[in-house]
Amino acid sequence: MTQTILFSVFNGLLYGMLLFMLASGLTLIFSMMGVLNFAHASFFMLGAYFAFEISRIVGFWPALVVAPLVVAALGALVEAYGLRRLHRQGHVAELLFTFGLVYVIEEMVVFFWGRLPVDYRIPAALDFTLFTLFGINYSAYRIFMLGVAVVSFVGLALLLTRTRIGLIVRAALSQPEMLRALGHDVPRVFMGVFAGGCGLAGLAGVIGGNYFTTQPTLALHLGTIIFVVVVIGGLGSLAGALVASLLVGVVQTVSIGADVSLAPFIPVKLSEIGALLPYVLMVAVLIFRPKGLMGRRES
Amino acid sequence: MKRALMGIAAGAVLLALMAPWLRGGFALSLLSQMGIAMLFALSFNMLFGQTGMLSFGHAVYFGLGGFATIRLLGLAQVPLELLPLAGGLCGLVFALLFGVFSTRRGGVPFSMISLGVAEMVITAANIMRSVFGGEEGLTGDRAANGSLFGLRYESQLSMLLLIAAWLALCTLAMAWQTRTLLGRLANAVRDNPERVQFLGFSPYLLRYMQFVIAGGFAGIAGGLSAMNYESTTTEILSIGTSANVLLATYIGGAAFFAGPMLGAAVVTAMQLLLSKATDVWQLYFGLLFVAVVSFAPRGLAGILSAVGDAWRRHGVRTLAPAAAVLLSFAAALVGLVLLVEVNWHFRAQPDKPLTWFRLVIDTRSPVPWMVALLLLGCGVHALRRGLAHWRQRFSTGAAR
Amino acid sequence: MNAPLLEVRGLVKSFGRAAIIRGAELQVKDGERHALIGPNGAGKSTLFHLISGRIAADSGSIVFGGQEISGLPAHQIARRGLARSFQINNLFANLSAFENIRMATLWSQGLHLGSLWRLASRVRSINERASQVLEQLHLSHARDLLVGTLSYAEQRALEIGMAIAGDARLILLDEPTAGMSRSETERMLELIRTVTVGRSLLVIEHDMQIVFNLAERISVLVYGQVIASGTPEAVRADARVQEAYLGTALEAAP
Repeated sequence: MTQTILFSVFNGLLYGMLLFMLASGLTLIFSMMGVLNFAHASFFMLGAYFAFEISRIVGFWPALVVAPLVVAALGALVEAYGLRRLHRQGHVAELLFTFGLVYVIEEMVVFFWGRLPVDYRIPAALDFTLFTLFGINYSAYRIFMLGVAVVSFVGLALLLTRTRIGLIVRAALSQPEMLRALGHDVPRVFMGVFAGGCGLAGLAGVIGGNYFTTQPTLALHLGTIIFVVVVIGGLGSLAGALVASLLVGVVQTVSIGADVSLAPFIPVKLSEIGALLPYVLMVAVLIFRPKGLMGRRES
Repeated sequence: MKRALMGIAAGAVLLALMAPWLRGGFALSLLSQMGIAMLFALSFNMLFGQTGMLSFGHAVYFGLGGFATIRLLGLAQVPLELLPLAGGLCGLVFALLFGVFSTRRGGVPFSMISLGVAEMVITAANIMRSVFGGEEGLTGDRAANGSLFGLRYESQLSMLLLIAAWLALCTLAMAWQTRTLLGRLANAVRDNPERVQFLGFSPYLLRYMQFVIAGGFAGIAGGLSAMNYESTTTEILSIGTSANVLLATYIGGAAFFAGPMLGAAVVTAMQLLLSKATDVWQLYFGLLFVAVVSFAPRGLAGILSAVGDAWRRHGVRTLAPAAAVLLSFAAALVGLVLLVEVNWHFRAQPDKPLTWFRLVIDTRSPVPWMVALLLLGCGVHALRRGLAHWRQRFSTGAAR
Repeated sequence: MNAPLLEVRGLVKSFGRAAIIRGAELQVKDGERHALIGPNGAGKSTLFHLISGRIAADSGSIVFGGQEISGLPAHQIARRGLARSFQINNLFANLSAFENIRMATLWSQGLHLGSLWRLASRVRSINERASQVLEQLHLSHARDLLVGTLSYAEQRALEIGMAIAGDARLILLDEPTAGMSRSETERMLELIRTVTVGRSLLVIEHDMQIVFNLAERISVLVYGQVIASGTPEAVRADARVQEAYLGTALEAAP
């Protein structure tokens, strides 16, 4: 029993870290530009598909580097030629634009790759069991995923706190007008943050695409979960996004894996309502703590 | 408002005149779906256009209304004419419930919350199989219901008339509502919720009231939908349904009372007709939506209104420039569609030629590709110039 | 009525580690025209936000009409007869000038939550009052125009109009003449004088001519504290005030 729970918790943390890779980019983009990028999970999906294509030609490792860059470039284009024009029309127009983008991206994916899942596989080099704990096998790929996620998290933290770029980004987060007055190219910063967020989502897609199944509905499914995460964590808080990502990741994974019945209370298994829990959690947070777990930004 | 009601009346008259041609089953079915979509879109715009609340989960009240209604379908004691009220009541009650925490804030937080609540309801509905019927959903037989007038609603035509009656009633009710004090305050909340506070009203409460009323009307639309199809599945609650009504409303024009009705009619027609013509119709939809958001934020109604204004002020001189814009738009559209279709066909079945109306196109030859690109390129270029010219000559410089 | 209409005592407000209001004390008597002046960054607008309920104070008390209002939500404070205008125009952009004013008349004309079902055009009282206010503002010609299409001065007048349309007992005006030319300022001054007859006024202003022509009493806010409060002559003679302003602005006033 303990080993299954341990395994579930591990998987949950892994899932949570993947969610955070998405939620962090979303939070940064929202905090800075006030835009809620509905299509964020779509960039995740594009990362997976691009990695699939690239790995078919040159293998997984180049794909790991190239795919996120392509996604980031795409994000930059979207921001420069799509979102930026809508900035003066207000946040609703921007939100609707990213909403429409979800459909367009999904249909473009179907256009090029079809509706069925593509055979995006774990690279053979990592397809083995790294170690066994309490009788459960932990695959090397899972450890690798966790590693990439942690490295990207640490990288993001270092970038934001230790570098000049990070300083500018954090300044733009709180006082974009002041930054502009100081002579910085704020639109360039916005584009950079947007592209960076999308690139991070793309990277998550590269490593997550073969963990989940790479299919056109991937974006829609994951999209709502990360919004729930961002609401629970508090709109605009990175720390909150981290806590919420891990929380949702663990709760969802553990409950789905658990073979426990809630019979005395409700005639239903925990695994069945596992999918429901993140949303119930979100509603609970909204009722009792509307700012989210750690949110500061009231929009 | 007068213009809106006149426009609606004109549409109704047009429809009545076309009646002899619209006898066929497909036409009746299309009109029924349009009617339901129009009512749903009007209720959505109570939140969006009127109060500035963008909901991604309006289908919840539509769908729950549908489920409440389907359960009463087939019961002889219940008159069919009044059945949509059951849907409306259900929508209202759930809006009362969910609105408490959903409407505390407006703007982006509200949109997110609406999405989360929708997902929660969908997931719960899929779990509660006994209540919502699982994958197959629930069915009913409307012919078995009682009636206030002693009628039996077996035919599609009778259903269409019932839908039309309810649509007319609800449209008038919602039009009236926009002119009440609540309707006006809702507009104020949309423009500046903070200022409303300093006038002595709580924006939260005003949003809540709008939310509840809109939920009620959405429930009526859902009820009509259940009666029309004589079946409901959890698909009716889906994000896709919510997205559809948002699309329809925005494309029609949220700033105009009748805009959502126009958008709903157009989108419904497109969906039913386009899906027969091409496999990639959803791509066109996405592109249309993005195009409207980017270039025509006031929607179709906005375009009509601008053209109407220009006509009133400049008369015949608007004809040539308007034709130029229309032609270039058509060229660009044909080019785009050709490009997409040829590409799609080439990927799917490169050996077989593509038949378009009477044209037979070999997708392997570069010719159709070149033609498509040329049409698209020239069309877009001409369109931009035509629009700039139009704006220069006829635009008042007011809201675009 | 000896008790002041508005009494602010020991008000404190910090944003993060920045203490903006540091124990402010202020009194506005019934029927008085009171000006609030001070150097930029003194916290005048913040004080308005605290009094009107836009933000909540960290500590201290605000008593209006004998009742404690500190901590109450803004809409409840507004209902008790406290209205305000904003430094930057804060109107309903997509509504007409008439509609803007009409919205401001609702509560005071007795149209509360229970009356919201009524047709706006049918309620005589609010329509008459709104027309009356527009007339006073000299904006009757702009009645049906969208606010976004009005000139800056017209919008500013409307901004004032929103504050007076509701028959408030105390009107807070935040720099009503900001960005106006000399002639526009003169007209605004006259307007403020006429529409605030019988009411109490607390106005933030930088234009010393307005201050000394309009106010019966002046309070000076410096670094979040009121360092002087009294008649214009007394304030002008106060050494601390002169120090705060370096003397130049006050000498220029008539």
